[in-house]
Amino acid sequence: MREYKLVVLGSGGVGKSALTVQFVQGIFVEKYDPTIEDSYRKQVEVDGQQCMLEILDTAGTEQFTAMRDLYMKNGQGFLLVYSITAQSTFNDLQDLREQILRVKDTDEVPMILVGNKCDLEDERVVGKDQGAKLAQSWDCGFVETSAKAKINVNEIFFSLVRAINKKNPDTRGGKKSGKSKSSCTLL
Amino acid sequence: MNMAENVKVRTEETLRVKIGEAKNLPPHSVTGSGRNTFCAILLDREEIFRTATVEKSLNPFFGEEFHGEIPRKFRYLSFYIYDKNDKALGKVSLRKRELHKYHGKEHWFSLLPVDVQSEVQGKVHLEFRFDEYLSSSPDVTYASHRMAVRVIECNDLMVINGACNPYAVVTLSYGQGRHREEVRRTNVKKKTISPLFDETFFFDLDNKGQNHDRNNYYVEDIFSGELCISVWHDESRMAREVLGSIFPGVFLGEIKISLRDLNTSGIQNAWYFLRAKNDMRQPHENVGSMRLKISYTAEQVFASQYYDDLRNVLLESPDIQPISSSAAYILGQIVDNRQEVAQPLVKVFHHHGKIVPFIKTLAIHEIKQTLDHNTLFRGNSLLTKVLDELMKLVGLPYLHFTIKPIIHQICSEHLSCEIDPARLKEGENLEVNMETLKNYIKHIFDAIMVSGLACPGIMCEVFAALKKAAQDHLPDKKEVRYQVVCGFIFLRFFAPAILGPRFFDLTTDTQDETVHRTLTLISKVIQRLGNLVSSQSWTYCPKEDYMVPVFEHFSDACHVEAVKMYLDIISSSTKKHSKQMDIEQPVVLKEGMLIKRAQGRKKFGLKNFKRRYFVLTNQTLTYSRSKDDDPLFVIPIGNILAVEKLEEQSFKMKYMFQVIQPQRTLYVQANNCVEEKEWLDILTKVSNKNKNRLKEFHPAAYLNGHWLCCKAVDQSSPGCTPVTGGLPVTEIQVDLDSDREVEKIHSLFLTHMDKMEALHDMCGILEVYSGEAVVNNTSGFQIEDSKSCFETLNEVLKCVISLEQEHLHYRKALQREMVTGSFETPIGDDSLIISNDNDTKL
Repeated sequence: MREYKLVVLGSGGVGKSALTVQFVQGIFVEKYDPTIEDSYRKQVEVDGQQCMLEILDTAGTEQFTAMRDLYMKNGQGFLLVYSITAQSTFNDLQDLREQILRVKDTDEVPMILVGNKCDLEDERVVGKDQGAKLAQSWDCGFVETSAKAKINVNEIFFSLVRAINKKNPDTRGGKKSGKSKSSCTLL
Repeated sequence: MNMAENVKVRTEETLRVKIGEAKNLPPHSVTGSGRNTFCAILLDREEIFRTATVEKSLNPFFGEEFHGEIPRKFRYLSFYIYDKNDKALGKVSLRKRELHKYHGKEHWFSLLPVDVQSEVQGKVHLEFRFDEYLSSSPDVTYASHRMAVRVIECNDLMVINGACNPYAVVTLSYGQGRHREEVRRTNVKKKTISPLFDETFFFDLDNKGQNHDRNNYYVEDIFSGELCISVWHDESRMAREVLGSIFPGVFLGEIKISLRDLNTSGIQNAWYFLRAKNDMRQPHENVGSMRLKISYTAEQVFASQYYDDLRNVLLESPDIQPISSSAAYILGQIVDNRQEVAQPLVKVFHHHGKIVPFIKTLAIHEIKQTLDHNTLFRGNSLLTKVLDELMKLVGLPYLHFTIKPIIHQICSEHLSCEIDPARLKEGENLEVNMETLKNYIKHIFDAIMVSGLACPGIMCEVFAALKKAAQDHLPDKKEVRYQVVCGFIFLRFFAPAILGPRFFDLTTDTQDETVHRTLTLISKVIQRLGNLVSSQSWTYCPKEDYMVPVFEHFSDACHVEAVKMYLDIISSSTKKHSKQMDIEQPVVLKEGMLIKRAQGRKKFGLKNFKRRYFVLTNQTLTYSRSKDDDPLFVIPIGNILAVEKLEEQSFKMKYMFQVIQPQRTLYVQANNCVEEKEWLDILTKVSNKNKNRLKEFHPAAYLNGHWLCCKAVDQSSPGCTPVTGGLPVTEIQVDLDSDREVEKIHSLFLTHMDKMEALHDMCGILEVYSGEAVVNNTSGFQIEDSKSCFETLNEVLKCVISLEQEHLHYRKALQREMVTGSFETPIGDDSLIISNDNDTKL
């Protein structure tokens, strides 16, 4: 079974854990508890293929950014999450994306832009077009979600798996896709 | 004013580097396997930092940070990757003047092979003179030409294997293809990197020509020649004797000058930078690359008065309404890197005693803007960055005092605490690991809980301000009061410090996977424990399954109460006047029945002992007849000058302690020694930061006209014994350089002038169109009140422009004073050390 290392990134309070826990356990976490670093494993079927997802839910607090480097190095695909109710969380993602690209030393990293809390339409400050535009400029997928109302939660994880598949089609040898050998072949 | 002449201008340089990782290092030539490598940072040839060794990898991940002040001049900042046996595998060398290109952003740099011949540093002082003199041969008298090369001295030469015995070689090469040469050498100077040679060598220029008959041409001919002055380290006599004179020693650098470039009339005297050997500009092999983030800043700091205007504008920030129109807030808006903004702001406001009002105003602003109180202060805003920086600035001694011993223990014991069955290694026992983990958590938790007393006063004041802001603006959300405090002290202080102790100077070692995992688990639990308080119940939050038993173990009323009390202590500012205190809800810290001696409020009468019910809050100590009665007497915390034990002999009673107040002393007896200690501890905690706290006290009572302890007769005589409960030294006064920080802020404003002007324009437009939303706000600026914002911008612009004028004058004056070839500015700054202009992706 192919393994996928997925990383959920974004500012504090955007709902990274809510999305992850909703996806993994099907529960909406009512109580707010800032994450330091949580990891989950979940087996799913994507396009008729069994996959083992290893999901790393990260800290949004900037004090923990020293750890981000490692997540980025080891991760294969990234969910970049903002809250549609807070402009700053949207703006923060640009830096995150740049950091991922630097660490990976390539321009093509599987990622999905996620606008969470889309159930709070009344409090929306980041327009859907803004998100779509950003995703277009990044050449990546874009989905608005609600962990609370369970909207598009599975979709973002599945899309990310597909994006990884697209970039690195499974070499049917069952080879472990851990080490970043691919980045060496650039030159 | 001529500022260049004014010696008051200082240059302050800071370097901050994140060493990320290296990749594609050359494999071991024999085994072809991974290597044990580390990375070192060098200023010229001086190593200033090295990372821990990363084992068995050709793609080592270092993930380390260096931060420091640069105390001296340098030309190159270099990063060397060494194999563990100190063989340099590759390097990145950057010229000082190109550092700004990489400022604050991460880059991959190609590593270049390290060649001894390319490693040079230092400079040489030379003098050239051309003489024309009359020479006579038997046949004819003619004008002869002679060149005098005086090798005066060298400076800052490289040390080879701990020694430097330098000598210089002067070589004149001439003729077709410069194949003929004349060589002179100086004496060897022992054990010095700044040898004074002062030897002059003469080179006759005339008889070097190919045609002896035509003097004019000789000179022409010879001037196509080249002079090379090279410096060598005379390694040892032994080496010379064994290897013979073929072995010249170790090359330290050279300079090459075409004679054509020298002025033949007069004397030329100049300093030159030594260079690497010329002939190694061959295409180099690929030895990998490394990822670095380099932030280098240099500030020219003027005398203090130059900063007064800008400083005043900044310091007014807390008083500006709305805060979004203040200079400090505007700075946060125009600069993307909030840390770069927060650092100097915190220092300036702290230095001038305005950090608390500043944070308070920012907090209120943020509370008003946050819709969901659950996510209050959770974003990465100017406020949260300012608090992060403040805690790092004033809180490190406290942090070290509190958890350093335990962190050290965890790192050295190196026990596995893995409790995730999926990650359990073979031979590990989950129960054993669980016990170890619980034990560590308990240690750290307890250490934090008893440390409230030691929390720096300024942090307490800030927390008190945050709590109050939450209380005032979210009066019906009681839990938010705790949430705001623990959101900083746990989430942004203790938890990150436990997770990454190196970033908080708690240890200098790097943690291997086992220790890192242990610290991660502890950090998570400590964070969660802090967070428990703000929730109504401590029901399990459905995250990782394997963490549930640990959380459950610690999630009980007892732990919650401990956290509450801790948070209350660190967020009560007792030194505030009582008016503010009244607004703050008193929090009961301890209560219970005790026996107290009459305080002698009445002049006469027996001073008897009575049972009273005592209640200590974060504001007062009171006693009453019974639990539900009104207090008979109230002692404000601010009036507690000291809390100490009382010697048994005084009243022949055990477990007695005294609460010393300005006019009188309350003597209290506890029921047992445990209770006595608890009261002593908690009373000391709440009163420890009182400014009027006593230094000495009387350990016994005043009875029958004298103090029993020191026999002094005067009841008001000062104490005879130093007070106990001496605070650990966690409040170290940080010496801050306000001028320098304002200079930093100035340069931030200056480099973001375009954004400042855009904001200025936008305010102007909003003002003209009376606030109609005609402006397409694409920049993400937040303008609450265009008028006041506009005004502040005008002031800031004025200050920044006038300050920049001074910089301009100063730079011009410097340029005028700069003499190429002087000791300070030697010739040949564009050294041939291969520089890394060719970093892969910019």
